Amino acid sequence: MGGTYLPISGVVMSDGSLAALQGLVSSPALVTPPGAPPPGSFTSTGVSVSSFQVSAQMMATAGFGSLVSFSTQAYTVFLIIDVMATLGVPSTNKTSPIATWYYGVGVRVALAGVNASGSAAGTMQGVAANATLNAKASAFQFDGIGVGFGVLPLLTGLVDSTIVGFDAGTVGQLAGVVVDITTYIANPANASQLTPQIIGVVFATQTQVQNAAASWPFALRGISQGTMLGQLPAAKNLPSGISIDPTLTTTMYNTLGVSSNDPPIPNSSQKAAANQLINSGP
Amino acid sequence: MLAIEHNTAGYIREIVLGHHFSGIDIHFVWSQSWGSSLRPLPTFTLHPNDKRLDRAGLYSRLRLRASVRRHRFDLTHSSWWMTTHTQVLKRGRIMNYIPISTDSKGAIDVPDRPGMKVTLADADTAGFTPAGMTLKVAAVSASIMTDIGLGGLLWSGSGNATYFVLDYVATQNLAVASSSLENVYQVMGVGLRLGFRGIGLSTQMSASLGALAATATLNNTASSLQAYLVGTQLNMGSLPLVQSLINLGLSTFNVDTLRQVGGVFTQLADYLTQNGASATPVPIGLILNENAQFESVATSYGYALRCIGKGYSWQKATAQKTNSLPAGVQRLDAVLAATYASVLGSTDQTASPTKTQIQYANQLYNCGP
Repeated sequence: MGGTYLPISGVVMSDGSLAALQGLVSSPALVTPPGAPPPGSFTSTGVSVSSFQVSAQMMATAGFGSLVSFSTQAYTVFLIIDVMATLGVPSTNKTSPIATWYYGVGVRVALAGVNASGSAAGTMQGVAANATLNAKASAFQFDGIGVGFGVLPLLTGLVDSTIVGFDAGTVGQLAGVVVDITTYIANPANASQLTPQIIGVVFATQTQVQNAAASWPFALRGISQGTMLGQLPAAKNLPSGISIDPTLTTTMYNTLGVSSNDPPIPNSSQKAAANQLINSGP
Repeated sequence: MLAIEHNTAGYIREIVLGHHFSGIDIHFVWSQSWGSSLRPLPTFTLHPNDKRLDRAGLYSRLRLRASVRRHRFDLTHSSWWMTTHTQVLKRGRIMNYIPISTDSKGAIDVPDRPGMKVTLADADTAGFTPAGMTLKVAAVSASIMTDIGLGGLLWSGSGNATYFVLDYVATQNLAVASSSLENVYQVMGVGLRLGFRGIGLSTQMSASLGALAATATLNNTASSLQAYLVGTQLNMGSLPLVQSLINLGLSTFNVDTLRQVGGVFTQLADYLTQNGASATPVPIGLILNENAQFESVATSYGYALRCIGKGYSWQKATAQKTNSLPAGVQRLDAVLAATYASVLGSTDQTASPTKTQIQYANQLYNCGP
C-alpha cells in the first residue's frame, strides 16, 4: 500500500466524530476531526494521484463496500486511487490516536480487478493492462469529494469509463482528470464550490489506543466465560500505564445484549457470539 | 430484511438476509410431508454466508425463525417441489446508504428494517452545497426496487431476476431522528437514478455495467432498465435530458443502450453545471448507525494483537484470511493500522515487530480474565 495516509470515509456522526473510527477509543472527541481548512488553502497545493492497494475490508471503510459485496472471488485486487488536492492537519490533542488528519478535494476512485502478474501486480496500470489485454473483468466506482457541480463536465470521460469497466483507456482518462481538476481547484473563482472533506488519517505512534486494544478483547473473554460485567476480575500483567477502560467493557456488554438479561449474566448465544468474535483469526 | 424468494416453478431459490443483521441466529425448521403425515427433519442453524443445499426433499415445508437482538421474525413458506436450489445470501452493505423513495417525507419505515422508523428532516433546500458527487452501483432486493419507484422492473417470468440501482448524484447528508438508532442520516441528492434488471445473471457481472450489457446482448436475456431524475427541475433546459431518458426507457438493455446511458450522463453534467444552483435536493437514501461497528472494533483489536504476537507485519496481517464472523461484523483494517502504529511505534506497513514488541502485544492480549 502506497500513499502517506490511510484512506477512510469522511462520514461523521452527529457528534462530529468520524464514523469509521467509532469505538477506536472510548472518547468520541478524540476521533473528531478539527475544522476543515478553508477552500482557498487548496488552490496552490496541486492535485496528485495516490494509489493504495487495500484489502476488501478497507474498501468498505473507505465507502465502497458495494463494490466488494458483488464478489470477493471474482476480484483479486482492490485499489483506492485518490486524484486530489490534499492538506494534512496535525492533531493538536496528544491523547488522540490520530497524528494527522488529511483533508482533500477531488475524486476518489475505487477499483476492483483481477491482479496482473509481474512487476505491475497490484498497480492500477497492471490491472488496467490485464483488463485490456486479457479481457479480465474490472470494475470501478468513484466519489467526487468536496467538489461542486462545476466539476461535473471534467468527469464526463471518467463516467463513461465507469460504464464499460476499468482498462487502459481509463488510466488515460485519469491523467486528463488530474490536469482538469488542478486547473479547476487553482481558480479562486471556484473556491466557493469546494467543501474539503476528511479523506484519510495517519495514526499516532504512542500508547493512545493501547487501553482500548486490551479492553475490547478483555470484555469479549469475560462474556465468553459467562462472567457478569460487575464481576470482571482485575486485569493482570498489563504493561505499565495501560489499564482496562470500563466504558469500553460496558459498551461491549451492552452491544451483545448482556446488560438486558435478568440477571445480567451472559447466556449461551451471547457467549457463542463473543467466542466467534474472539476467534476471528489468524 | 428476511425473505424467501422462489421462482415460478415453486423452488425456494434463495433466502435473503438483510445486510444490517448482525449477530443473527437463524433456525431453519424443515418438515416433510408424506401423504397426510408430517415427518420433521432435523433443525439446524445456518450462518448467513453458508450455502447449505438439498436439506429438504419433496413436498417440504420451511420455517425460518430469526432472532436479531430484541426482534424475532418468523416466516413460513411451503414448497411443493424439491428445494434443491436454496441458498442463503447475505446482502453486502449497499452504497453506504439504503436507497429510499425520493418522495419520502416525515416518518417513514426504513426499507429492509422491519419495524424501524425514522423521521426525515425538512431539509433547507436553499443554497444546496453538495459535499460530493457519487456514482455507485449496488445490487438491491425486489422490495427496495418497489420502494424507490422502480417496481416496474420486477420480473415474474422464468429465470432468476437480479436488480441493481445506479445513482449518479450530488449528495449532502443531514442528521435525522430515529426512535431506535442514534446517528441516522438522510442523504439528500440531485442527479439521476437508474434501475436495472438482469435475468439469469450472477451479481458479479453487475459491478461492470459493460459486462452486464454484454451478457444481456449475447444471451438475449430479458434485461431492462428504468431511469428518473432526482431533484432536478423540469424546464426548457432539461428537455433534451428528459427526451434521452424517455428513449432509454423504451430500450431493451444491451450494449447499444450503454451508449445512450453515457449520453444521458453527459447531458446531466451539462444541465447541472448550468442549473445546479436552482436544483432542489430530495431524500435518496439513509445511512444507519450499524451497531456491528463495536463488534467489528472488538474483534479487530484482538486480531491485530494476535498478528503482532505472531510476528506479522501490518501488510501480512491484512493479507490473512479472517474466520467466519457474525453478519455485519468485519475486520477493520483501520483498527489494525492504529494498533500496529501504537505497538510498533511506526506507520511503516512492511515493518515486522521486534521480539520486545511481540512480547508487549502478548502482554496486552493476555491480560485476562
